[in-house]
Amino acid sequence: MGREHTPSVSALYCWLCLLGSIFFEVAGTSVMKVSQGSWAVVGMLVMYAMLGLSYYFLARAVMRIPLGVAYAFWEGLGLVAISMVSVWVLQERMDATRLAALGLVLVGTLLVHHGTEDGPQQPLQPKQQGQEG
Amino acid sequence: MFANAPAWTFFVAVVVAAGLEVYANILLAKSEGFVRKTYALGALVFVALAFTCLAYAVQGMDLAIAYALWGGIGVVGTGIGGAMLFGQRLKPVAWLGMAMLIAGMAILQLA
Repeated sequence: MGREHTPSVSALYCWLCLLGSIFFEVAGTSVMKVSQGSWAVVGMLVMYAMLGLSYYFLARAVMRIPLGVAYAFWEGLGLVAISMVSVWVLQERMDATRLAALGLVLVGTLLVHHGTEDGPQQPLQPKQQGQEG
Repeated sequence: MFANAPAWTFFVAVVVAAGLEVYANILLAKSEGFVRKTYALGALVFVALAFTCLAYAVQGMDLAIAYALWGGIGVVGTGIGGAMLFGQRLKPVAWLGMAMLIAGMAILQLA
């Protein structure tokens, strides 16, 4: 819907916004995890600021990128990046079972987005079949 | 700080965080690129609430696990909610994806 009256932004700009959004979301989430104890309040404030930036950039990104595609990238890349932070920065446990389960979540996320037809703003098609899900 | 809380409270916090985030994303979509300020502000408030719950959850869970559960519940919730409320159509591959998500999340939570 927003696409018609915002022709001035380029596709490249929107993809850079999406990458920026993912970066700030991963950074904010990581700060949240490491800031415990006496740094908890500062960490939470930093997290809120980064999430605000993340959502601002996400909202810019979806001006040109279809919402489903943007969320698929956001969640997919976010999960991969968070898992890398988990292993390499936080030294959290990562075994074959967890890796396989994270892989299931990642592929499942992409399949759901791939199989969801966008168009929440459009009225329901006057079709009688297939509504029972 | 909350490390001694019962384990189930962390899981509940992840579920609540996912629900709040789904609602934040609906508001974000309605903000049309942060142009409609009321929706944009509402989205930020709900995402802040969502991450406050997530911040509680990671006190008792590994970050990768909490994040995967949170994201996965959000995707399943958005998919089913979108189909029920907005008439979005889910192809068979989407249902396969949901099954994989639920299986993956169950393994993460139980293993």
